[in-house]
Amino acid sequence: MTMDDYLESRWIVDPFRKFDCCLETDGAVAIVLVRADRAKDLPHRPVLVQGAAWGGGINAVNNGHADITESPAGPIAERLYAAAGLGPSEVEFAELYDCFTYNVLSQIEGYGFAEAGTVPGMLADGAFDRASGSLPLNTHGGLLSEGYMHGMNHVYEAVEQIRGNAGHRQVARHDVGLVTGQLGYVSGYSSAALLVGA
Amino acid sequence: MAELTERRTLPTPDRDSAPYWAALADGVFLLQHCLDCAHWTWPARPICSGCHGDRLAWEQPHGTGEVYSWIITHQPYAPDLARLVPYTTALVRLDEQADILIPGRYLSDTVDIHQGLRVRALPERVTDQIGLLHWEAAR
Repeated sequence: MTMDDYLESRWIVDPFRKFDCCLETDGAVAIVLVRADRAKDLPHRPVLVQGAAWGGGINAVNNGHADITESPAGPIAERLYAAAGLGPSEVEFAELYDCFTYNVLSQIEGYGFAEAGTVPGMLADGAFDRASGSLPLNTHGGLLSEGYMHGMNHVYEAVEQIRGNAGHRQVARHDVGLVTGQLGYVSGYSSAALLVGA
Repeated sequence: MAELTERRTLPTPDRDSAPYWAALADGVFLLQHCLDCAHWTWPARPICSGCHGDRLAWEQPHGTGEVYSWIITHQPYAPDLARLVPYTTALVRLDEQADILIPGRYLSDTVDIHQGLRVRALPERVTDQIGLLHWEAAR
């Protein structure tokens, strides 16, 4: 898709065009969880849930927050990194919940990968490109370009990346991946996990 | 307005919000106001967003505020909305309290919407029990 393709696509709700909105998709993902000591005996590289966080955060309906540009990911990120004992500089790739384009920009800030307002320049410079970026993002195309599977395809993709099974999508550094759920503008509810290869 | 009396896409009043929608049907914009801490709460709920107390009264704010942001809907999300598109929805910061941001259709064709635009509430009766809140440029 070219920039012209994007700019020529119809408005859905200005400022979102057709390609700012995710695809409607039918599908399924299954996740098998076992204890880490048992996972060692399984045929594939174990992927550990190093940390997870969820809960209410910021929203725009009278929750004491008057700035809707403040990322709802912020409070989740703080608890996620504390739970995992890791920080944003240790994350090697990220699969961010992207029902709409804006959610991605907001999460890049909220999870500590960029200062507020700097994301568009970083995107233009390729910072989040799969092949050459310092933090490859949504390596499978995400909900916007692979399909809307309520974010479960993000977990699947992160596991494939960590195991080195992602084929032409494989990123160079793939031991620590961030996966995130709904950003929480409507309900104020969000979730995320840090996955690490054993 | 015929476009509104014929519409079927309506809010669903519940135990907490029924007085809000009914007041709008009567042309009055009411919000929950805490009798203990004077905090305003929106959307309607059983407890105060400020102190979590349950002594809330329905009171009339000034009904004025300023445009914080807005969107323009082009996609007709329901058949009865098709004739309205494109329409502008303003997110308005109420004068009474900075964290109360209430969306509503912006109806002033002659005043271009922009951040900081002064607006006032314009209730619109749809049924006996339900009114909608719109915004218009303050004169």
